[in-house]
Amino acid sequence: MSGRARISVDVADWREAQRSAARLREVRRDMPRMLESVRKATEQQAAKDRAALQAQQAETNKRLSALSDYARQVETTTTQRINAATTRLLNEVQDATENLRGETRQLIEHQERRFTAAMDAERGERQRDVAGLRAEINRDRQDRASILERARIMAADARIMHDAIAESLPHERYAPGQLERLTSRLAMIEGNLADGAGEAALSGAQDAFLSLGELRTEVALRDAEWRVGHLAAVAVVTKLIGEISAAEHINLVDEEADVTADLDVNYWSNGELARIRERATQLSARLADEASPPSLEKLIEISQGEAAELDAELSDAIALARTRQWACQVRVNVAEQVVQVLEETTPFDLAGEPVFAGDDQRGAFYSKLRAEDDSEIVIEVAPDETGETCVIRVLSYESDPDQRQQDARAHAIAEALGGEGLSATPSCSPGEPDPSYRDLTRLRMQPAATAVPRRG
Amino acid sequence: MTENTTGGAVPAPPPGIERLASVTAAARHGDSLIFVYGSGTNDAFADPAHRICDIEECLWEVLHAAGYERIAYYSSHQSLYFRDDESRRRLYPTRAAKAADPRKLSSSPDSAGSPDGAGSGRPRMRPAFANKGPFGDRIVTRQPGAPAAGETAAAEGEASGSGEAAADRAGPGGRGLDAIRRMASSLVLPELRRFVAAGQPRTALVFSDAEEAIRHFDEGQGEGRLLAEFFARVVSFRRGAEHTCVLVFRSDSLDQAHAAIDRLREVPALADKARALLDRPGGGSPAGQVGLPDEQELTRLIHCLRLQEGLRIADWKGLAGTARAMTAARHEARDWLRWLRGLAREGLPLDQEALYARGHVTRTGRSTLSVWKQLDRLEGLEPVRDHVRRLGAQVAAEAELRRLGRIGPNVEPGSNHLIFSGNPGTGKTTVARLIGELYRDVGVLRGGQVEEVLAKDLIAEYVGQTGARTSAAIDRALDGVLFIDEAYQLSEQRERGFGGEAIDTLLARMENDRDRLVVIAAGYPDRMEEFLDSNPGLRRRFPESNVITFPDYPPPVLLKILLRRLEERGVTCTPELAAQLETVVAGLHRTRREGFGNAGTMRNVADDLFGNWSRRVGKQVSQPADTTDMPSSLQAYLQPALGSAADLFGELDAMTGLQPVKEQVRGLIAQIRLAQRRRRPGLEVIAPHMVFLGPPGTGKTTVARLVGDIFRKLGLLTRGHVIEASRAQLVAGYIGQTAEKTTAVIEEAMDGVLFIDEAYTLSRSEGGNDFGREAIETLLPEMENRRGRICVIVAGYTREMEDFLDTNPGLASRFTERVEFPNYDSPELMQILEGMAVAEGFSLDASARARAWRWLNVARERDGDKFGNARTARNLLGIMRRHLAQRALDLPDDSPELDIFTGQDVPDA
Repeated sequence: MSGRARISVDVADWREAQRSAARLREVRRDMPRMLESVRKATEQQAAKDRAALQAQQAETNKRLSALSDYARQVETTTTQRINAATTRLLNEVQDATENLRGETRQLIEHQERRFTAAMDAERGERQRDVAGLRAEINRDRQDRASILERARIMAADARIMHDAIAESLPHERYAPGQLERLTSRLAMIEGNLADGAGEAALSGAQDAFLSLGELRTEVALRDAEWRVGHLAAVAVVTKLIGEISAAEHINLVDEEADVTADLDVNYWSNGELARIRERATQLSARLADEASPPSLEKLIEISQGEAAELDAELSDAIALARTRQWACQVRVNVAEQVVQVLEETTPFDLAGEPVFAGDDQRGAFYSKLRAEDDSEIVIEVAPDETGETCVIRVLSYESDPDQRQQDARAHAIAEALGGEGLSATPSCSPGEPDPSYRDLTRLRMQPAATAVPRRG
Repeated sequence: MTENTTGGAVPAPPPGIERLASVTAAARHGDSLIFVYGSGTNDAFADPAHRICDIEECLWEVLHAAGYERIAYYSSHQSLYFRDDESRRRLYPTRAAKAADPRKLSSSPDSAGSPDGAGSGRPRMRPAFANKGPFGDRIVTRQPGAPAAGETAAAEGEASGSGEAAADRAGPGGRGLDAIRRMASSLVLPELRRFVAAGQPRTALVFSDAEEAIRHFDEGQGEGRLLAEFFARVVSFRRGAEHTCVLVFRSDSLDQAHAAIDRLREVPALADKARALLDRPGGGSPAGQVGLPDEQELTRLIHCLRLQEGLRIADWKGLAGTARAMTAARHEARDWLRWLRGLAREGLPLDQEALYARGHVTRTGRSTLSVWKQLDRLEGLEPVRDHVRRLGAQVAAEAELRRLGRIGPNVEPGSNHLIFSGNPGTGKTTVARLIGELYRDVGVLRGGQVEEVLAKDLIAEYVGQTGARTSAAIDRALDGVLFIDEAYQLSEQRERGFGGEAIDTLLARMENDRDRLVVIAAGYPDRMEEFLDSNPGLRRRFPESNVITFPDYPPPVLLKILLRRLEERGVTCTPELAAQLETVVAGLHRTRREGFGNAGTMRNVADDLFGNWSRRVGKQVSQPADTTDMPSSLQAYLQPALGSAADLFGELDAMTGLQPVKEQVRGLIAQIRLAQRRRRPGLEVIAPHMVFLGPPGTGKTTVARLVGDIFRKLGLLTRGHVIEASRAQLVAGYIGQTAEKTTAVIEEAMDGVLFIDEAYTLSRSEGGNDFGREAIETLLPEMENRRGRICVIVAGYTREMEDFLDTNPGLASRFTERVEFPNYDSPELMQILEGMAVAEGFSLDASARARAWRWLNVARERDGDKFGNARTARNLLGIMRRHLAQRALDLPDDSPELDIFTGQDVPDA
């Protein structure tokens, strides 16, 4: 008793056969809904950000309204410039995400540079403004009393600015410790004023106001910067989650053959899709965590690193699922061909329904042939360890086995597959095959084998 | 060809397809191995039920009628298949149920990959698999757009114009199934073994492409041996196993079948058996050979198309003739099928004219003139014509006697085989074709086609092949004529080569196929005699009365052939050229040698002339060919304008004395000139052979040279040179060498004069040998064979020559002209002596003249018959010269005496 012939299908040819899978057009049925959800999420987040910024600005403006006329004039200009820059950036991010344009990441990549540029520009403007103010003061510093008066006004403006920053801006988040340093300087100036040291107080107050103004600008711009980054990250992750959802059920259309098939990516990728979705959900949660919002660097890492990585993994999972699904069809095709060869050339005929082990299409496919004398041949077409090609086993259960015939069968099968463009190498091993394979019903009922190992 | 394992009485076969008669007989005999081969295996057949079918269908009918219950087919393309449900059911009880296509094992309508399946036309998997994969019944393993192997084969078949047959053999056309089937051949063997096991119902296995099948098995891993074992098993007797294997070889001849069988050499017993069947001694009728359709089958084919496709018959009375003409044209039935369908489609009625018009029947094989009229039109072949007429009448009478039952079927008829003896180009092939038709007309042959072969084509280089090659030629000639040109080559190679094998095969088949085969062996007359003598069987098959001699064409016919060839090539001749050509043709004919090409030579002359003409005129093709276009090699045949007698005889006349000789030569030449001028047809004017009688030194050699020159001037010899030979040049010291030596001398003298001095010495034996006689025996036939090409002059003393001519009756009759050379008289001798001296710048004074006169007279008296005449005079001159030289030692350089012979210089008499 003998009768195991193993036929390995050559990987290169197999791939060639698989390449035709690339002709399939994917239709992700949830794609429009996904796009809409991304747009909505981005819009909501942007609206939220705008509202927060507006509230913050209103508070700052209210507090700065107590500034001296001249200083108020300078700060109003500054406020306008900050508002304009922030709005423009937010709009850009929103536009990009709404149209799902690929620039979102690009925007984030260039954000740092753009903010530095904005800061430098703003700093230049302010210094010009303050220099003008200082020149005007110096023009008038004829007498001591007026100098002292000027110093008092300037110190008061500095105090107003200081308080406005302290109360209305997230300075500790974006410029930790800086206000504190200016606070002690401001106290010293105010001491000098009290001592009547007008000259010293005036120059100190001027510097402090300038520094506080810069701090205010920096904090405002950094805040806007974070919000833009956050918005972009939200957009990226939302889109990722949308794509994951859309990938759950892909419809494959082979227009040439007029065939459609559902591709259950999670099933064919052995749960890879669920794992990706879980990680994407975690990212989303972190973005939504207002208690400990992620830093700008973290945001960039999420949108540029983690989300992008998950995106690539999603593509791989889809491709893998497609390949495995295709390979499954190939296995059935091959099994049918093998059965046909044997029917053509031997007294064996197909007996009963072919089955998948564990009724799982990802596993081995079994067909059984029977001859009049109840000899049987079981054809196993199993995925190999990569799951991407297959190995055919011809298990012969014959009352009068003939090794030469079995070899010839294996060669005939390999040649037949060769005729289909799949080069196959048969190898035969003597020995009795496991009789349990004769029972296809049992094979079908057995627990689904984790036959398809995870890639990589 | 077939092997009977069951024996027993054989009932008369029912009417079947004529060209399968031997296969039918073998099947009814219960032969366990039946070989079928020949061009017809790929042909269409019109069966007695007026159906058009292929060989496999025909074999099914044959085997079924012979009582085989199961008939399975195997081919390298289709593996196992069936043509009837019953056989399938009996061999595959379970599978038969699901099969829908009765012809093919695998082609159930739901069969995978059937390109002609339902739906979108794309290949689909069968239902058992269709719902298993994620893509349903989709077959994804084939590249899109790539045809399945079966489709490719069918497409190629279509392209090659044999669509039906190719598609039929390509099989069910499943994806890659061809590949599967081919390679899975080894898996079939256990199946085949099962079919032919003991106790099984009578089963016939038809290997429908035996060569391919054997090759495929042989290329497998040791499967050739298994197949051979299988056949061996079938062939050997086993109780309860009355099965048969029918091997259909698609090749035309047995050669290829042999080659295929040789692959089975691993089981020598089988290979031997197979070879024995194929080469059954005596050949048998070529059992198993399927050739071209005969008249009956073609008649059925016509009726098939008449009934089924509306073919109209133009001439019901002439229908038999039409079918005969179709048979004689030797086309396959499938060709006729196509052509007759064409007629039916175009609504044209069928008759011979329609077939002529379309070139399906050519007039070469069957002129509209009757055979007899065609014979009458053959020019220059009157003796042949008479002979053929006599033969035809004899054959016709015999056929009629048989028809009337006046002679029994067992009475052996007279032999119809013929020997055509003659040079090439004498119309042998043309007559052979007429013989074919004539025999067909009188009912000796059914086909009447002529298979032309050269003897050497029948002979192979290796042992065993010659028989097969000869048989193949015979197979092609069956029902017609096998025309073997240069047949003597078979006997010439009898000892060294395999010619004997060819003759043996030929004789065996002439006996066994005597109703279906006429052999015409052709070649040079004398060598055909050798051929007939080489095997007593040949003389029996080719009786003397059946030897027809083809004479060379006479000059007027040759000229006609030449002029017709020129006309065919579009060249006209000036009258001058035409006149010259007549002379040239006459010359060629006169000087022809063994193997003269007759019509072929004329064609060559015409073609040479055409070449010269075309070079001269370029594109001015309206110019006729003129005498300047005459090929230079033929100029020699043109007689130069004969000048006066002085031109012809000047030199002869200038010779001293010899008056009787001069008169005889003049008389001879005058006769020749007269004959030339009269130009009587059939009267050849050639250079005669001559005897010069007379003592030595009487000018015979000189006259011979002059005669040669005169003959050249008369156009009787193209060169006219003289080759002198004596016994020493002709006779050698050992047996056999003399003939070679003599022949070499004759060759040297061709187109000139062979002058044999003292020829009588040839008839005298020297030292006990008679090699001289061998020289004569060599010379005599050559003188006849090369008549007109050589003039032989034998010379010698009158008496000895008379004796010589008497020794052999052939000699006297061949030397028709005698010239007597008398002794010179004294004044003539003196004249000769003085002439020779003068020629050397000497002169004789009176005393020298007087002494020489005396000396010569004394010598004549002293020598008698041996007197050397001019030769003696020459000797005397030599002595005189020596004496003068001696005397001149004392003379000064400027002495005039240095040039004058005096009396002192002449010796004493």
